[in-house]
Amino acid sequence: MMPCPNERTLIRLVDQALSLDETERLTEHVSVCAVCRQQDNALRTLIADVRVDGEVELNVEAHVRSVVSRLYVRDTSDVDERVA
Amino acid sequence: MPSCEHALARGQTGRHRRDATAFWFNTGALLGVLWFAMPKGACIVQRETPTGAPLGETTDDDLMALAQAGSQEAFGVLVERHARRVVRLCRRFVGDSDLAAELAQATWVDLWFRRGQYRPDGQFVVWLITAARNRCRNHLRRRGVERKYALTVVAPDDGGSPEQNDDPLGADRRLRVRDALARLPDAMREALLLRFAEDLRYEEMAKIVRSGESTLRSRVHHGLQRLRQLLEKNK
Repeated sequence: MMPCPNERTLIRLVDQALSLDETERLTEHVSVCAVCRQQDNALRTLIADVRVDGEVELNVEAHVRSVVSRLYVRDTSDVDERVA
Repeated sequence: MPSCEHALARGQTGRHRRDATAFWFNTGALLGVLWFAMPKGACIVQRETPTGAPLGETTDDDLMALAQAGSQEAFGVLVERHARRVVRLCRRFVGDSDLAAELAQATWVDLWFRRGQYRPDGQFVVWLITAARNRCRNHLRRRGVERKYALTVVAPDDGGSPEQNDDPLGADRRLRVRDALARLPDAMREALLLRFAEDLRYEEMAKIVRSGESTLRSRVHHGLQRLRQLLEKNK
């Protein structure tokens, strides 16, 4: 079995930044090495958490209506003014 | 008699021609009156492209082509398709949901009036995100906020994920991740969010941020390492 990769290499693996050959070799290693598998899972969970961070609740229909209504009158008033 | 029949036939044809001319004249006049009577803000509801394809299944580029031809309906479909993404991006900059929605709307209105500048190269999202990013940065600059990417720790009840109640451990972990993200240098945080939250390729990120791909890749990889260190420290 190949030696365990360092953290940077594992990061590049989950970021799909390795060549096809390297990806295949590392994926095979991760599948049989408990330590690396744990690291790999932790990184993927971290990325998933970054991904879901900041989900917004938005009434899309009302949002679209509001945008479209502003297209007719060229409402380009500055947001700063309107928010103030 | 043939000559009479012929004359009669000619007469009928002439009358038909006159009738047809009058019909088209009246129809044209009616359409003209309707056009002038129609409020110019009225939206002609058409959920299909001229070829009959549903707008919802049309590519961003094709919708933009229709928008460039004046179709607000097509533009509305684009807004609908990407609304959450733009608001989410804006909120990451300004940290406030209402202001983010305002900035997102202003971005769309701006894009409508600049739609002629768009070139159909399959990169609508890049164009959109660049515009939203610039809009937010200008807003922050005017407000005297120095940070480029003012991600704040948003309270769970302010747009937090609905799954938080179902998965308290996951929710707690995500809050810690958000807190750690807020501690990263702006450029590093932005690279991480564009890569993973916006799901962009490095090539697309490079166009938005105007940095080299290798620089961005390095920021993402260092950013992940730094995030892990921060989370380990705060366990």
